[in-house]
Amino acid sequence: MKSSATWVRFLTGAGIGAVLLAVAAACGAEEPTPTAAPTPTAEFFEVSDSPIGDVGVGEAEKWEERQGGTLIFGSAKEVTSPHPYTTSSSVDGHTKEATWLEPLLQLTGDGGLAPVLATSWVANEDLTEWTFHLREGVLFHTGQEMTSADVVWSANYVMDANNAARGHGDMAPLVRSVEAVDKYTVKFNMVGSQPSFPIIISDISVLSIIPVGALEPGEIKVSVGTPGTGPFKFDEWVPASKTVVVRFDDYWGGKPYLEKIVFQLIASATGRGNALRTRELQIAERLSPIFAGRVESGDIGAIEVSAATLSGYRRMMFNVDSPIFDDIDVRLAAMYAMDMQKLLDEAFFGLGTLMDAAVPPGSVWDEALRECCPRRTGDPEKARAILAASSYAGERVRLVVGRGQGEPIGESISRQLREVGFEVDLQVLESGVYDEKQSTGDFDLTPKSASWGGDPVIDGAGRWRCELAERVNNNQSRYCNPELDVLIDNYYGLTDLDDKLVQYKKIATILYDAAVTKHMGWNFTRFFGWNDNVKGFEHRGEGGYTRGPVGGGLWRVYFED
Amino acid sequence: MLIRYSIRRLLETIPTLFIISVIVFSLVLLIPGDRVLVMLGYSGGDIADVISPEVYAAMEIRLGVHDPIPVQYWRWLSRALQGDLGTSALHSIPVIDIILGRLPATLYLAFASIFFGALLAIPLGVAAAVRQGTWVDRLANGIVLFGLVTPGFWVALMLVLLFGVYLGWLPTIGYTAPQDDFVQFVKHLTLPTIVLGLDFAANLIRFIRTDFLEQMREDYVRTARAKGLSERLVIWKHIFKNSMLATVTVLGFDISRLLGGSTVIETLFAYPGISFLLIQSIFNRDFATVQGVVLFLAMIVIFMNYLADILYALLNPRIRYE
Amino acid sequence: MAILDVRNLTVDFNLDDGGTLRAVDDSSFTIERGEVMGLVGESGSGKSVTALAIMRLLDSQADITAGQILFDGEDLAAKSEAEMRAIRGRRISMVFQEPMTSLNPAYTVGDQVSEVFRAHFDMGFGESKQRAIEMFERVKIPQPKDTYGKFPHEFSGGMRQRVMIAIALACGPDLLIADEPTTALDVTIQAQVLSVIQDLQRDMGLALLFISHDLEVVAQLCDKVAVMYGARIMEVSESTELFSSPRHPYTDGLLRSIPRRGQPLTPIAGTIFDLRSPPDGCRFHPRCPYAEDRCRREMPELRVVEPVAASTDPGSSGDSGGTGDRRQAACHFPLTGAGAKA
Repeated sequence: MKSSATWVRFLTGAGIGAVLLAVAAACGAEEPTPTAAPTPTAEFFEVSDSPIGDVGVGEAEKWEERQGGTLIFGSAKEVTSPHPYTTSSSVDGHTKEATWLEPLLQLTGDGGLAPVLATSWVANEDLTEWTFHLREGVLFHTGQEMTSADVVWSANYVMDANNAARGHGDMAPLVRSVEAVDKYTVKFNMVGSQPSFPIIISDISVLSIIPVGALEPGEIKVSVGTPGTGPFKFDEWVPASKTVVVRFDDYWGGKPYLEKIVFQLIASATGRGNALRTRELQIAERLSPIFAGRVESGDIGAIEVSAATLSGYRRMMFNVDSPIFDDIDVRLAAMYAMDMQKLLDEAFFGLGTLMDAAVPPGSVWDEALRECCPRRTGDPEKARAILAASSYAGERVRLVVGRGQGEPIGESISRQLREVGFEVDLQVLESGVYDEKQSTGDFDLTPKSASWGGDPVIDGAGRWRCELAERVNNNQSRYCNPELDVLIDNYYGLTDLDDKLVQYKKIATILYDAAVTKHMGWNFTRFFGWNDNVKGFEHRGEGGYTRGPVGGGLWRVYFED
Repeated sequence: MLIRYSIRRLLETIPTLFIISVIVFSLVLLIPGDRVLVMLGYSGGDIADVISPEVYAAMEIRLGVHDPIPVQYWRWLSRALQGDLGTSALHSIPVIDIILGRLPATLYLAFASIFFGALLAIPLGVAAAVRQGTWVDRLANGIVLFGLVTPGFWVALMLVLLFGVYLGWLPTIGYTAPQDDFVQFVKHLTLPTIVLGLDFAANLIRFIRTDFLEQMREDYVRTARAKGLSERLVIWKHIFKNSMLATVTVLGFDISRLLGGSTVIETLFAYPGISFLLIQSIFNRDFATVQGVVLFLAMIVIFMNYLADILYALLNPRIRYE
Repeated sequence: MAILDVRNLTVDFNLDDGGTLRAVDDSSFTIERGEVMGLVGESGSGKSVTALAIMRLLDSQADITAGQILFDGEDLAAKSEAEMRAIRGRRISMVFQEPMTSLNPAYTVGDQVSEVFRAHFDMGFGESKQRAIEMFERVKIPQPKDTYGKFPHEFSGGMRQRVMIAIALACGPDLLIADEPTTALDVTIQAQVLSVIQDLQRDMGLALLFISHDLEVVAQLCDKVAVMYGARIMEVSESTELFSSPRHPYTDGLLRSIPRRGQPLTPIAGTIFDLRSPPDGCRFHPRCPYAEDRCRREMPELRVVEPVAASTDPGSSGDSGGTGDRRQAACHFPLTGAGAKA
């Protein structure tokens, strides 16, 4: 195994992004080589000390010793559906990924890509074709071997709009067609040049491989999970209660140790902590910081905890259609009023570190941003001055936040806005109402969560297209600029990083000058805990508890007598 | 006579049921969230961009979200009347099956709590009335106060810490079906039962004590004493039955409340009952399930009140002719 | 020996405000076996409290603070609750004023009668039911067998009172206390219920303490009458003598306040005093037309009064040999003739 459980693993989203970008940059650098050899190859991504090496000699004995047992895993959220292609939450994806479904390849903790069902992958020179070589001898839970036909079928299923798959929006615009080259080779023909395609399909919620015909066309609802290739087979799913998986003896990576895993939904963090102490749970996620602290201090024994560092990222969206924020000066005043470090301290107990931008700090994107668009950090003096000169006449700013995590954010932001002279009407809403207010534009200011996927335009700025300003849940600010649309459209066709950076700067400048959003990013901590007789558990840096070969995860978990 | 009365009371529930069906139906129209997206398999926001507009529109038509509201209501009601509450928005299980699958756990907990609560409340309530001002009365008052002012979740947490974490006697989460392992079933039921039972008992003690004190002043009690009956007979035969008359009505409300399950308690103990299902369905925007569960719970309340009326008639001979 | 000999009975109520109220004050009377004694007086005079004191069924805030209640020679006031239970319903029974509320609405009347047998005798359900049906016959309830399974609300007041009588007499007691048993009933029903009581009293040789404010009923039913006013007994007398020649001004007043043939109706002037602050001296003096200084200062004891000269009242001389010496009044200046002062 790559590393044993460590106390804190600082693997930030930013970190991942930075490494990827470095890799992408490297690819670009190698471009001029005259040989016809395909450039970015699997070697760039392959993890050198892949635990696959563990499987083999001596494993049989070890297996006999360790095998058996049912592990109960306390989840904070449930698997909302066992459907492979509709994941509504990260827990949903983590649970499936840790057990019965697998992608072709996956992101590693230190930012690389590792082989899973694909052993190597390669792009043609202009990155318009991606070819994946599949692992041979991988069996589905049905017993049949996984071949290129299954991959083609799975990818086409996801890309068919009628199937309403989660990955449709990620894959369909990028992929023109998928073909089986031979039994173990699949080729994706891309729309234009797509350097980040492997990263996109490494996300389990985008593409996992299931057998041909495992779902009917348009089968949106299932109550039983499909077969997959993972170390555990789907067994049972009880809505609002639990998901059960059992050992798959023919797993390509070697037999898992555990007989069965029950993902038990326990909505209360205190409940999870207590049940961990009583050993009714063997592993629990999202424990409270207080609980983790008590374990650390030795107050609670026989339990180990570990922290996953996640990157949280929010945008404060101004509704440019609102009578208050249709004035750019009022928006600017509000931007200078908001101090993100203060927000981090007040709303998240100062846990984590501030990123204060939409892109990973230190990345090429970050450098580009610094050149075009200096940070608007908190400056109450400046805020007051701008506000006094603006059209603002004491109207109440409707600050709409979701119940739960949104509350502390809302409170901190409203305090800061009031400090410079805004009147604020803070509305803490249940999530459905919150979503609805955002999609109908019934707000002035609202925080929106987002994630970093590797490319600031594809994953972020693409949202600013005018057509999306009309659609629900996308561009809450309702900002629309046809000039920006053209820039974004052109960006999609770019392959060269330098060209992209130039284009990105133009896009970022327009958005910066329009002052429609204020970014706030930070890292925060999420705690896992497990009984001290549970061995081999390892979670991913960003909070997942992945399947076997690469991340450790639950595949190699066993009970020590 | 009782049968005719029962039928009449049953017919009287029909208008109530109708009104409730309208409320339940409109409730879901009022709950924010995108029904179409949910039917396409997504419960969270911020994912609309993954769905193609054509697919979205097709689902809109399938759901008939643009039909006039009365048409939508009638479609829903006519199915519900045939026992079809629809299928869950997120998976292919019929809502009625989900509810029925959850029902035993909730029923066991409800009846266990009622049994425990009544076992505690009836003797204590009676003793508090009969021995007014003594230590029994003070104990009963203490329990009532405790039950009224202490939030259930706090009691639950304390019990979990004591019996689960420190003593290790009882499990703190989950549920086992009695047919699978009866001992585990009882163990899992114990803590939630105590929490709900105490709350139930607090109400009941207060009610029984007050009513008993009133009954004790009645003339028939003096008659019973004048007959030379033992105090035991006077209390447990003569006063008790009359006191139960009023108590049954109150019980009807409390029991239907318990049958609805307790959200907080089911959540804390990860107990797979009806009410936890409801909460999760609301979180997941599973509208059909929300509708189904609320309608089902409303019917339980109506049915329990109906049952309380019938029981009242059984206990109280006077009502049959009225 | 008298079956009931009440000596100097005093009952105090502890009031919620901390004060006390004397509801029965130093009262004495006797009832012989088979004798019917009336206890008359206005409401609040202490009649019902006296009855409940004998049954030892007083409220928790009432106490017997002095005196003795000798029943068949034994002091009931000194008996334990368990001993009293064996006496109640078995040797002393009571019929209450309110037939509508005195029966338990939740049980059949049959059960309420038969449980008395089961409480006092070692008797099963079958036999006690049989005996209950016999009792229904004795109190002249039509269709006694059908009656057994019916509930109180299915009966009229008169029938309910018969059920109460059946309950009271089930075990053949020595003494029956009837506290205004017919007051709540219609006049015609009253007569029927009274005749049931009267018949059974004779048949069973019962001693009967009949409490009423209705002097006519008392006159018709009772051998002897005690008159209460303001917690004290004012006069005890053979009933015929009492009605013909009352010796206490209060009794005289009472008699004058009921409509009688050929006499004008004259209610007693004034109102009864507040029991919490009784007047000094004779309790009746504020309303007594004959009151003198001594009456205001000194409380008259109940004492044997001299019979009125036989020559002046030949009507009473016939009885004077038997009970004339027991004629008692609590008055410093007892009346000597019909309404005339001695």
